[in-house]
Amino acid sequence: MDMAFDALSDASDEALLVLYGNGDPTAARSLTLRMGPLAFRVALRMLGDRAEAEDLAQEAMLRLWKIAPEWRQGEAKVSTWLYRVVTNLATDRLRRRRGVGLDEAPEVADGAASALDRMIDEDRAAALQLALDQLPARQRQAVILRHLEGLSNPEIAAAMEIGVEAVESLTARGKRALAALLEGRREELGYGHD
Amino acid sequence: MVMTDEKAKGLALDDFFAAARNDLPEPSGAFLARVLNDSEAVQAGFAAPAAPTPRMGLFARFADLVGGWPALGGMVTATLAGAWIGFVGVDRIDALSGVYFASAETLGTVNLLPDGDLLALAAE
Repeated sequence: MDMAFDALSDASDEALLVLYGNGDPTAARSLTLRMGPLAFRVALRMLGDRAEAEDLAQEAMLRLWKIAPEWRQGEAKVSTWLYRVVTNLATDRLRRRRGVGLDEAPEVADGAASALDRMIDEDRAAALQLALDQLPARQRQAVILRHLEGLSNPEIAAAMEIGVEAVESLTARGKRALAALLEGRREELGYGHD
Repeated sequence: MVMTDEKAKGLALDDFFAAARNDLPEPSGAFLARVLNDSEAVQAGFAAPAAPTPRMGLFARFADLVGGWPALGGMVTATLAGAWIGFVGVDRIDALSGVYFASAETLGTVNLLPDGDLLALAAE
């Protein structure tokens, strides 16, 4: 799709949302270009399925459009709000998909790493995604926001509506699980023996 | 050799994170189009009035456009008068004006500036 240049590229996310709520059509386009890829990217990291991620991201963006007139300025960053909505929607889907409580999910699924066979160096991102898919949703959420989206721990705490210490705990446990999942595939992924 | 050093593991994991950050998944154009369509549809709802106003008929909208029913009444009167004048001819307008104006004898005039005063004022 041919998208026009983002004419409001200098405006903050919040300013764009207020403009959108006031009926500015240009703001709608700018926000779509800015927030749509973010919502999709996080949804894909969480779900590991492109079609499902687009569906979820569209739903999250729809919620953003609807809340625009009631947006209370200065209370939260638009991106933080969107991270929260996307990850919560994704968590709900994962819960339905697995049919078990997230807290009961195993820290590391057995045998999942077999899907990483024949991976080469440029496939590390895909390998990481496969490993992320094995994490419990809350750990996955924290790791994605911290290490792939680059949010600070307080920002993640706001997005996940938990304390900073809980974020640190989730991130640490998630990284340990990822390392364990990827450890057995180091050679296939181009790390070889040190 | 299986690496067991936690620091080395952390560095390796960072490589995976870096690879993932460099490999940003992009949404399809169709997805962006759907999101944009949603945004326009929702935004259109913002512009709509909270309570729908009753639909006005064409005649009522015309009356509203020219200034309401009093103005419309004036227009009708003027139109009828014009048609009547056109029908009876200019010569008989007196018949109509006679209804409104009395004869020359009864039509009073008031001179607010008696003769001479105007010239006196001009001379000053």
